[in-house]
Amino acid sequence: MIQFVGLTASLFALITALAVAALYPLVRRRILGWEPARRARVLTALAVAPIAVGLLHTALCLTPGVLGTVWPALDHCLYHSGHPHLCIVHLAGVPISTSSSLLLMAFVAAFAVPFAATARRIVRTRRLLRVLADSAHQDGTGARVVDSVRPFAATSAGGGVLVSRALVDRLDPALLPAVIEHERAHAERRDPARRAIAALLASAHLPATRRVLLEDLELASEQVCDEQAGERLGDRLLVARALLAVERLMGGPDLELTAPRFGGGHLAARVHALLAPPQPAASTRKDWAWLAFAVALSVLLTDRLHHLAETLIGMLIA
Amino acid sequence: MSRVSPPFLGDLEMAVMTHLWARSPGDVKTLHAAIGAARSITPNTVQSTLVRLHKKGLLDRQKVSHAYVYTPACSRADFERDVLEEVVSRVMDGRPDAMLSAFVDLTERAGPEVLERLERLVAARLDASEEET
Repeated sequence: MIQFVGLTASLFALITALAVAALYPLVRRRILGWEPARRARVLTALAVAPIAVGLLHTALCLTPGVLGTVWPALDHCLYHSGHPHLCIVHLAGVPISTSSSLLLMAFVAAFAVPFAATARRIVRTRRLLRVLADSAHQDGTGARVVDSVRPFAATSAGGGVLVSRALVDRLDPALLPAVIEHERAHAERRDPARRAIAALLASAHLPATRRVLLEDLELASEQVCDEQAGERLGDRLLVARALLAVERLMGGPDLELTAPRFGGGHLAARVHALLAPPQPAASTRKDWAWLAFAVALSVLLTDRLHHLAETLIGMLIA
Repeated sequence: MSRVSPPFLGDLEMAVMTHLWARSPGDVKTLHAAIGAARSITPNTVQSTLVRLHKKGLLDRQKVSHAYVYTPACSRADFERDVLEEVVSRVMDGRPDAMLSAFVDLTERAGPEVLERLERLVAARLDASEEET
């Protein structure tokens, strides 16, 4: 039974991953033009979509069987035949073929390998960040200062806002509040934790789609915090200046020797966004309404999804 | 600065180093009496820990009579500073990690031409807004 449930979840996750891989390149330009907070919400939803859809639809597919067990009058398995029944009563005795077992193992491996690699990196970075957070101290800047000779500013899940001594000493003091407000916005939004979860659950996407989605999500998160820092300080230009100053410090004297990202990557996009007029905040209600519509549609289509899953499983175990 | 807990040393290694930073020099016998007995470990375990720390370059040793006497090869402050820089390097030089939101990308630089172009744009906007006010 567990193999069929796994196959059902894998099939729906795969269909969703393929749909996102096919459609995202078509709508990406449009999404990148959205206000950053909305973009971050939608990209997070897309990143977790295969897992979320896989689990939701599997639960929905099992609903008729569960209802039939509790209330035999609702047992619809008696009304159709010709393929296996996805219910906890009738499927129990159906053997799964070797090829289907291999297919299920391939699905699980395709998800588990990137998931394990991401989890390993998260655990490793968390451990290192804890060491940095332990060594940091308050010094009146409003952030925790790490006594490092390398200039950096960062927010970590559980570690709070960290800035290095080198950054505090070498950055124009007028620009430091922009850095700290930006990082504080990340901490308040719990961005590192959100992005870690998105990165883990995005493991069900195809590798190229996963990379693009997570990069776009990272840019959106950074731009949300750029805007929040600009709003709090009443000066978006100050944030743009701070970005360029920190970039220059991080490049150091060897800036010419470092491998540049084509077109300046996120930095150029962020600076251009800060120089453009601010975009009005999009309503979260609209996004929640779309999500509710999608879930409601899935619930309404439960019966069709149930039979679709049964047909697909039937093809696999035939 | 609060105490750094280096991820690169085990508990026993850190205990040995801490002891030797406070009371140096030391040999297997004195270190076992100071930290080994309380942990119910044998002198052999302490000895292998000392050898490991010597191989890592954290302890110097000198043969006195039939036994080695160990002294720290660096001060505790230097050790903590090196560990910290190593941790920073590992965080900054690795692949971008979802656990970390950095102010600017830690691993990829924009390049001097792009940076100069962006700085000119920002300076022009700054001049324009100063003229307006």
